[in-house]
Amino acid sequence: MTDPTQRPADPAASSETDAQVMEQITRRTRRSFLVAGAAAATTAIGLRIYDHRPRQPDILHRPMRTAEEFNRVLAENVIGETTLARTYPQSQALANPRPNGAIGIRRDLNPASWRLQVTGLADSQRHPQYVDNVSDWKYEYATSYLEAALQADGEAQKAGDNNKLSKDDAGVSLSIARPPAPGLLLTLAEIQALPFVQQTTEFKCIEGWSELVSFGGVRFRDFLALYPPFRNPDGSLPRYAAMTTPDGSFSCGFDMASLQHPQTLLCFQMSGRDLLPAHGAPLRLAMPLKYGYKQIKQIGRISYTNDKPSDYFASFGFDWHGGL
Amino acid sequence: MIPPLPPEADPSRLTLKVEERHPLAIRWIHWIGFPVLFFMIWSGLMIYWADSATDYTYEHQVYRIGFGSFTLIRLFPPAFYRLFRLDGHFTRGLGLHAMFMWVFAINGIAYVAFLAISGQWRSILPDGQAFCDVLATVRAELSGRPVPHPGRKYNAAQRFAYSASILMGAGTLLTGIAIWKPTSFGPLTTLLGGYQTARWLHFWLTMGFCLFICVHVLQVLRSGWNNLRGMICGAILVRSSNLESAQIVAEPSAGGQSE
Repeated sequence: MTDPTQRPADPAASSETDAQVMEQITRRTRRSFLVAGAAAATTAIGLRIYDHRPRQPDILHRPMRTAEEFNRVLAENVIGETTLARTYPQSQALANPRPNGAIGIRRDLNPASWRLQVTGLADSQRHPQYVDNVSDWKYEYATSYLEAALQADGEAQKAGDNNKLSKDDAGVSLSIARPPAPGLLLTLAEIQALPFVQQTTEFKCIEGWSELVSFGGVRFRDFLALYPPFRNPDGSLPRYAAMTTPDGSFSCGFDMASLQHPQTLLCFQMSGRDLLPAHGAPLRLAMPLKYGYKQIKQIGRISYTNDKPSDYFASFGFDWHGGL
Repeated sequence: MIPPLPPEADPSRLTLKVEERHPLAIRWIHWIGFPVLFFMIWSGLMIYWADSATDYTYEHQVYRIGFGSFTLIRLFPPAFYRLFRLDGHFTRGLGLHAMFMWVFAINGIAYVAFLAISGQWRSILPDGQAFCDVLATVRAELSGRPVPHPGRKYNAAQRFAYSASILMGAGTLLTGIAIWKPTSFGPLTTLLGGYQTARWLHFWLTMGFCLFICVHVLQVLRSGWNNLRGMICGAILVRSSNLESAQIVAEPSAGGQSE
């Protein structure tokens, strides 16, 4: 490292005394520590000030929220959300996929009382399923349905389902009062009338595990075409869709682009059979473009809106976007 | 801590000198990288916790030492997370990781770009001589014997270690992208062997980074203040003769090892 040929001969330097050399390097070291200390302090104080400005009412600090927002804008506008996820032969799919949590699922829901509420549509009155206020629809909950649902779930119910509803919770209405909204009340049969799609993709949980799952359902883009959302004055689609479970205790927000992805399904079949209650019967979302926590189960309502919808998981500090 | 005079040196012919060691850009990148790497590993462990904490209901596929269905050790045991207070901070881990990944990526790209443009890569990339010397250097290092000085900035073992750290940085970046956007960057994820394989690679590359950091810090402590000062103010003190033809008689560091 001290190859003399690489060092220019400097008569002035060589005449320096040892003390002067020591003084010189000490000065340089002191200056470096001061610069580094100032940089560290500026960063820390800057982040502190930024964090203490008003932020979203959730537990994640503001700089991290900003980074997630930056990542969302990047994903939607630069990376794009059009790439197709890799698909696999159906034979590789698991027979009994692992449920990724049961928050919001009401197993005591009477399946016959289920309807999909859709609001924010274009000219919704032209549809025969139109009602003046979808919030008037009463979902029916009873303990007798819970027994049947748990029986249907079988293994799926036992497997790692930490959040399963206990029998004590059955019959307790968690319904959240929602403002009246005109829209449609769709039956499962009306959704199943759309072209059926079967796809085997890798389901990814934010915890880290993943599984090959065969999903059956209809493309959300076909659903959008049959029941088109309202248009903004400039002709654009609403920016978001909000989805909630029938009792409103679980919510998910989506950007419209991810719903228009050809592999985003309104799913009513998994592993070649009807959706189990543990997986969100009668209707859930299946989208390889998002983590599992965004693939809402037991959908009760879909609302198109220009306001960024609230999101159950985001309120606990997870990324609102959750894109893959 | 001025390097001591070697016994055979003639003090009247020797004088202290300031020798330039690390350019300003390298020092900034190094000291930005230090906390960023810490935050990435720390937050990464918070994320691994979520995959480790599911009450052992499911077989652990990634964070374990084992083969096939056989698992020798599951990483990490709950006590490890409790000890470092990493349990229950999943969302904070995700948030920190999604924020610092940008600093990590930009810093790493800046480092490689600087090495390439400045020509400094020549002092780091293992050359023929480094391949010949590496085993002898490591053996000397492990046995505690003084390591023969290479007569250039880095010895063989250092060249391999620093090059490996660059490769590991590039590897964690690529596997990180494959894990971050396995659908949007699907071909990359497939190329790396799939989502779970990419996670496995990401984890073990990080373990490699941890090993590198341990050895690096140990060697810095061994080599002393003068050597560390090179990464702080950019220069070190050397004792050498004023005469151009003079031999280098003193080394700035204990073993001439990593800094």
